[in-house]
Amino acid sequence: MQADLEKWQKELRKGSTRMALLSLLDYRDMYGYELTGEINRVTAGVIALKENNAYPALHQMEDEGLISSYWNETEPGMPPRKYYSIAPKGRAFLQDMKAEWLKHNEAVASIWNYRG
Amino acid sequence: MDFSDEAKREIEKNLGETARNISVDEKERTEIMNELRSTYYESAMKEARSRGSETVTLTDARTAKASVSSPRETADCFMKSYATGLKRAGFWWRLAAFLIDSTILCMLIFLIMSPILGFMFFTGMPINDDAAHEAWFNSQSPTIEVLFIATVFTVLPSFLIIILGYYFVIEGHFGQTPGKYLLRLRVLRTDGTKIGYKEAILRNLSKYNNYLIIFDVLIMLIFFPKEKQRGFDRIANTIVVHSKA
Repeated sequence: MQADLEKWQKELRKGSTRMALLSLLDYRDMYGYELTGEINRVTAGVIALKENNAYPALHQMEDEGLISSYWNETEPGMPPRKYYSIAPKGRAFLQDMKAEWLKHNEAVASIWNYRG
Repeated sequence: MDFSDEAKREIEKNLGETARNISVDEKERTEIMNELRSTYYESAMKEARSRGSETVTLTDARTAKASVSSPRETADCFMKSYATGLKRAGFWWRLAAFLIDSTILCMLIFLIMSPILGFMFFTGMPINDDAAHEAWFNSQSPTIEVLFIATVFTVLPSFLIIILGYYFVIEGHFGQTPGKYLLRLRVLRTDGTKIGYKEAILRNLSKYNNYLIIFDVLIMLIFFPKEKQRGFDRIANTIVVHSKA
């Protein structure tokens, strides 16, 4: 039962990775470690995104032109950070995703409330 | 923020583990490594600061490693994310790579055999006639005989190492042979992750038998033209792809 639930949670997370990353980037530019940390913090760990899922997704979205990136120096002794910023195409995609998500939520609610 | 040398070495060790399991172009690999390096440093810095220190120790680096995804997992996830965009290499490309590899192998074998060949040439050893060969051998001084046998016993193991190592070790380690490297081909597991020695040994077994390899390629052309997998690729669960330009 627990394993089944975990498997399903993993799929849910997979479906929301891009939306979560784009939503934060829509607010401001961030680097990878900051993105995963912030998502974990604001969702209190409900959407626990790890580097292994987040980074490939970021690279893919960059390839697709949804986001762009640049390297920025940080404090002395630290290596430069790779910052991501949302592109117009990514912003449009995020809006579409949000609309679909809401539609999906309403649809799920009507299924739950099914009385024949 | 200061990092102890031990902490830095620990971080580079983690990066090395990721790098070994990522089979992509140099540019992409460097980009991924730099981004992960920054991540490990940030995470280790957080550990040090949480205990009120401005110096990152080995323990901080280790705790940081445990808090981010494992190097192997990260590498595999990156490789899987490329899987959908991969273009599988067909018969002609792979034949070309095989011919390049065979040429290189022939040259290597010739090079290794050259002490024996040279020996035979300079001493005028007859090779076609068994009786003449034996008579020649008996007529030689013991020093020459011992020298010849010693040469043969040094050359033969190296010969075996080259023959087996070429496909099993080089492809297992780098995910490509020199021929594939020149033609920008790469061997991956079907899920897109990097192959290991096990896969390299399994998929290359048929290359050591002239009849078997023809049969193996026919299996690909007849039964798996879309998957572009030889029979032994199916067994090893591997594919050959064009690497990203």
